[in-house]
Amino acid sequence: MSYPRISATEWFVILTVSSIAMGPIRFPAYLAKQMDQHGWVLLLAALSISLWNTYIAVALSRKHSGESITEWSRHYLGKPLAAVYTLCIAIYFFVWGMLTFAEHWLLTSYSTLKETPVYLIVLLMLPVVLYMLLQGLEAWARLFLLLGYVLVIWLIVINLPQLVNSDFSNLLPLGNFGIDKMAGMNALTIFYLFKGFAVLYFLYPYLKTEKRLFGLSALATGVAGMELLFAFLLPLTVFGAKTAKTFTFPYQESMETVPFYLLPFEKLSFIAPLFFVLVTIMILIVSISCCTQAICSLFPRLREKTVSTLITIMMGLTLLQSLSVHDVDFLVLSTAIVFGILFFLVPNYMWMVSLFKKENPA
Amino acid sequence: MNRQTHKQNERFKQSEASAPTVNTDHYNIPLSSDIQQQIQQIQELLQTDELQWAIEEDGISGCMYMDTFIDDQAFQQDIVPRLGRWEHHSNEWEKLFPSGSAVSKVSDMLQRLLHGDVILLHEALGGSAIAVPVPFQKGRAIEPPKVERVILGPQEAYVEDLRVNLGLLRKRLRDPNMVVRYYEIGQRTKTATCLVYINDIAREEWVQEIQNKIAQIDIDSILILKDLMEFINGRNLTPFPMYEKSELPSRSALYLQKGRIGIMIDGTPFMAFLPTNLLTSFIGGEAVIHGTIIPLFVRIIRIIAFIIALYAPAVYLALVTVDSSVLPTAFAISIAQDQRGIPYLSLFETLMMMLVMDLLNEGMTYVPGNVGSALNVVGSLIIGQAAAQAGLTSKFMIIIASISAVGAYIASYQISYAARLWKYPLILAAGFFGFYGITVVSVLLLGHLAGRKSLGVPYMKPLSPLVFRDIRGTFFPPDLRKVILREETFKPGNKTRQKGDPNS
Repeated sequence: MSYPRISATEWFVILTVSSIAMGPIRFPAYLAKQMDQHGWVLLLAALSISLWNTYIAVALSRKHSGESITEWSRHYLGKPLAAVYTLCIAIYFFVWGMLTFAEHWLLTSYSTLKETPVYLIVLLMLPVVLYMLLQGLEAWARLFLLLGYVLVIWLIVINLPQLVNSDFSNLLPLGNFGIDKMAGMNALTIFYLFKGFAVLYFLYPYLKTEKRLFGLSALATGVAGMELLFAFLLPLTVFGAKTAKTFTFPYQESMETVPFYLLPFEKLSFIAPLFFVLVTIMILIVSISCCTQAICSLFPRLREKTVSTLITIMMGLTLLQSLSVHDVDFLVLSTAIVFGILFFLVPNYMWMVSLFKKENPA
Repeated sequence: MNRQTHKQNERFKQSEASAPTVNTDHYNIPLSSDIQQQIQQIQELLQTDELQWAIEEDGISGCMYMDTFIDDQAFQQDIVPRLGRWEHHSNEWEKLFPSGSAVSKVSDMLQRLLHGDVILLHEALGGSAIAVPVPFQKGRAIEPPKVERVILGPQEAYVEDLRVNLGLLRKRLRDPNMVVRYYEIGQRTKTATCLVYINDIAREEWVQEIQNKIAQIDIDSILILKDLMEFINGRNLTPFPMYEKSELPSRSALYLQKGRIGIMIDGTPFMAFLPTNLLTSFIGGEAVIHGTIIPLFVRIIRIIAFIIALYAPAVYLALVTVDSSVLPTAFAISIAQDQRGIPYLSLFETLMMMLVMDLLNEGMTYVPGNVGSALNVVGSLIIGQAAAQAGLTSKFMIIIASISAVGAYIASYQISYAARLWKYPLILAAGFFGFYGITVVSVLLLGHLAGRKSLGVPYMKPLSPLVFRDIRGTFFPPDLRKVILREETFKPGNKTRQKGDPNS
């Protein structure tokens, strides 16, 4: 049986989608409330940190090619601590998948399926996710590439027409760029956005080629950054900061201003929740896959397909309870803190130790 | 009670007392030296009235044959006039019957009889006989293609005879590298099968894999291509074709040159090709004749037709049920007026119409002759006019159902069933969840396709994994004068088509 392999293009799509995730849904509202028209500064800061984290991920993975983070972390943390670390990562990815679904459901139940109970959506979506997981990594990576074409078209179609209604003077005055508001909880935003690089720790052993990996990953993160910038800036430029702050989903509202007369549809905004359905399914696949790999590294005797199935069922059960906006915001904050520890502090520590080890081989 | 049990037991005993199975391979024993006993040996095994035999009055020579198998005319013209000389000069059989060959085992004689040979017996031969092939080719003449219709192209299609088909192929591909490997599969049917490939282009591991799978076949009968492909390809649990069939020798030659491997079976007028992918289903026969722009147009039309066949009913249902707010007001009112008075849900209406269209499709395709045409007319009248006037269905639904039915066949016959089957989950998802449901089921469909492989080649190649050169070649073939390399999709061994710099 051959080892599954994913191509550079497939990795590009996986990283882009994982980095965009559900950012455009709630974050524009949060940033607009907290930082008025200056939220884009925080976004750029988050993007920079993510690029740095991507560099760390590439560097560490290259050092231990053929192994995932759950395996090579033992060299730096020791076996017991690495096991705890792996368990935390598994739980994090599980929660990430859960949170992604919850965020998408907030938008979908608001805009489209107002009367549909969440359990029906869980019953519709999770079998599809499980089917793809059971098909294997190569199959779902190819699926991501196919969906990537759709997402590219969507990104162009839904963002560019909004520029017609945009007034960039709504971003003024620039003032101090909102630096004073970046401290505290708002800073944690940095660790919630652009999480895709964390997936590299698990998928690196399966990449066909390592050539220009950092450049490709940086480009993917950059594309995600551009989409999130659009998601934040367009509502502000269309409505102004004061009005945009009042919306629960400003990005969705700014899409409602785009008419479309070519086909018998009044607006294209109905496509937005569909975009996030695709992203949700993709994130669920990625998160459950990474969670499975983490669990299987702790319990090598367990079969991956069995673990994937169990995790998917567990996730389905947890998703039956729909979360409110406040619950989602709380989870966003909590997971941001955890992410900062798991995928910023610890890997940076491991990277520095690896440099030290390199400099003093004895 | 006892009488019934006794009767059941008697019936059981009778079934036990049926004739033993004759397997020609198990009679690898020498022929008797006496021709009477040779005939007796064969009669014991071939208990059929087709077996004819005759012995000369002096008992020195004779012959045996299956009268349903041999060409009577050839037998009377080529064999019978020479039997007189054969009787007295048995050692001259190679001159008298140049196509004959000696057989000395019972199993060989049985096999030759079952292949349409006349067996010539002579005491002087001792424990052997001469088998002269005189098979009667009861086949139809070469006719224009029925499925892959071409208007301005070659009008020769395959027939049921394997050798004739290989001859047609060889006429187009006089390449010494084209290899044909013969097999006989099925213990009872001994069906002739062949594997065709171009030695320096087709991947060796693929050829080897197929050969190994054919060698492992140990079943009593294989009569149709689908059964053979199930052994080679595995069970097909998807409505999408996992191997491509062609009835055109011209197209077969083209496919072989791309690195694909052809499999043919006696009795089926199609050649199956491995590997295959989704895009090959959308390449039309007519398109390869007319240059560059027309093939692009035809292929795009076919893909659009397939998408419409798949999505039209679901999108319509989503728009009239869950996502009706998407429509402009005037259009929504028009649809609502059309649906006024329909006594059931739109979901039921859609499912019912699709089912009826599929019933009519099956009727038109498989019901023979005039009955099929009558069914078509009656069905169209009922669906088209009566149902709409009776308020059983809306006019929009009739249009959607017709577009969907026609679109499925415009794409390609082989892929039409995929559209006809997959539209049902899309309709159900649209009925309950609108566009949301369509999206999720579409992901399932794409994921299903992304997971398929044909001989290790991903089914969605060159879309995923992305091979831009092959996508461009499929939709917009480059100038043939500049084509240096073959397409990558089927991983050809010898990549070069003509001299030149591939990077120019």
